[in-house]
Amino acid sequence: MLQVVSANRLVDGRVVYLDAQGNWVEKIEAAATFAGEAECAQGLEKARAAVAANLVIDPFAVAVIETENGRQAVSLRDAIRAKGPTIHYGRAARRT
Amino acid sequence: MYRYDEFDAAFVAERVAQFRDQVARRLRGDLTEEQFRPLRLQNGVYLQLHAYMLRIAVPYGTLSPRQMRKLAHIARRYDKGYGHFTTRQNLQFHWPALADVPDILNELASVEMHCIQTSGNNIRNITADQFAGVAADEIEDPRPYCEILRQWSSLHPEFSFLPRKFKIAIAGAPHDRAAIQTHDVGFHIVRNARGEVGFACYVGGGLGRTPFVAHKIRDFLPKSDLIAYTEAILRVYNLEGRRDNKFKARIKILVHEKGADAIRAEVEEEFARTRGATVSIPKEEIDRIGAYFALPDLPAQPARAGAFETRRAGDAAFARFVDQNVIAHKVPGYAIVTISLKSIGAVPGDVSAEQMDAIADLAETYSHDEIRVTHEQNLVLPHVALADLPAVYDRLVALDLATANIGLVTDIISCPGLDYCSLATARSIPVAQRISERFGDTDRAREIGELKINISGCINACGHHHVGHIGILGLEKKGVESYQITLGGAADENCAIGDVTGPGFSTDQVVDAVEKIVDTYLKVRTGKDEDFLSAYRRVGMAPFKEALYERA
Ligand code: SF4
Repeated sequence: MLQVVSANRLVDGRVVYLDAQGNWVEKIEAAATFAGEAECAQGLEKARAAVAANLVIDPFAVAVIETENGRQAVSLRDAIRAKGPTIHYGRAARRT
Repeated sequence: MYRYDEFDAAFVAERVAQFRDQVARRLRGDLTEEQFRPLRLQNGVYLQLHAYMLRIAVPYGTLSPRQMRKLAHIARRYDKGYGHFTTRQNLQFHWPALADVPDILNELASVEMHCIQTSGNNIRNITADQFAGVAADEIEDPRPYCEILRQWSSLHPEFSFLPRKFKIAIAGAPHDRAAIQTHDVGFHIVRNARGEVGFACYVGGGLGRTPFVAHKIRDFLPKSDLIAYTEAILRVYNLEGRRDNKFKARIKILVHEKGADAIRAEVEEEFARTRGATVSIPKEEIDRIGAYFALPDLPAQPARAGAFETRRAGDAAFARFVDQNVIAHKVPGYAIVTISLKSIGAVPGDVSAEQMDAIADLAETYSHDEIRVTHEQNLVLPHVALADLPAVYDRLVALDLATANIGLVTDIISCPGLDYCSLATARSIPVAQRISERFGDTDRAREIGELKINISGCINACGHHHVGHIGILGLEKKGVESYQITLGGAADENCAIGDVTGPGFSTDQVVDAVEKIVDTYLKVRTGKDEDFLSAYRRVGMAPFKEALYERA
């Protein structure tokens, strides 16, 4: 199964993904994908280095699928992490 | 309300400085996440799905307008313009950056607020009846005792590393509005046969994975012994609580495993041993703290206000608001107004920065500088003159805060669930929103009458689902959300854990299932004065089960 590597950024806690250049980016679409376990292990290895460098925390592999509507995380939890809360919040929640 | 003395102010300022240094060391890499995590948790900083979350203590749910404005400012400056009130009478910000937290704590300290002991295995923020000090049925205001316990328990060296977290609640009226029997320790202010005021003591309540209603282990505790007795309970727990298993570490498991009688005996033995040696609270100290919570100087008002009566007679919406959201104040001519944070389809407990500012203005103008937070995720203006009710109502309408639904089917408690929480197994907020929209602000909702729906997004039960008249627990079954329903729970003095109806419901089915339960209630009730809970207690699960699973 196709996977990407995700974590939370240390300084602000935001959800980030490892891209092909080894940077941590906010969009799941921009993440590097790993086809097999061995490949993914390499990604997680890079993530551990980023943990040691105090860039991110709690890295893990996220199963994804490519769909017509773009890349989607397989589990609901990971999808919510990728797209944000499924509800309107803050200003958007105010009914006018 | 309580004001920090020099000691309190220095203590909180020191903690902020300490945490600022810890955050700097973490960001520099001098501390690893393993080293830092317990430090940030001790300051109320969690990591959730999308960001850090900061949990701010609102001691016994009392807030001043100044504090509310500060929360609004923090929401705007450091977060996304809103905050979320929780079932612990706390406020959570869902999006603060770690790097900003020391500044946020500094801002909070400037209005005598902090996040100490909002996480970790210590004595958490102590909660109380939201109508403390104003309710007509009250024996005594519980907040001075909450404050005494707060001062005693803050960074108490013996109780900073308990087997697990420890929650205390105090109620001051016969009708328990603080859900004390769902807490590790609950104190219920009572009057004994001699007319003295003290506490009935409950221990071992709790929700979560294994819910238990607390056991009463003492009928009457003199006020001066509050600390000594609490200490005795905590000593027994600290020594014997199950540190070997996180899921069995709460005091409720200890009470369940050993039995309430055995725990009572141990607590009494420890209490007898230390009583006198340990702190006995002098009456002067109770009076000194109590003075902070004295009723404000409320100018005399006529018991019936002309403007109020006229508006009530001529404006049906206002009359509904008064019936549902306003209760009697102990001083004639005044009322207690509950501000609904549950407008139809809204996120329960969420409040925008603009609303916070406006509520602060209202409290300043009309409620003698006081605001309360309820554990049911609403806010309260505790001292409103009847004559001012029309003006307060009009302002609340403009702010979308005047939904007349307190205690009704749409006044739903909901935890953040999978939309925010990293422990969640399912979403809870969208379910609350859909139920709210299904019933709406309608005659039907009013016809249904009092009905408490509580929703949690996992077995940790932050949404108190076990004690909802209808409880909804979000689980994950084979990768999809599934909702288990319980009926007959109650959080008041007749506390009960709800019964599971049967197999769970999908997210598409769950709102229909709630509606079937409500329809069944309407069919079986003897009349409008038999509320949902009474009807359920009379007829039992069978008719509800039949309606829910008729095709099975
Ligand atoms: S009940 Fe579960 S999902 Fe809801 S806030 Fe608590 S831990 Fe999170």
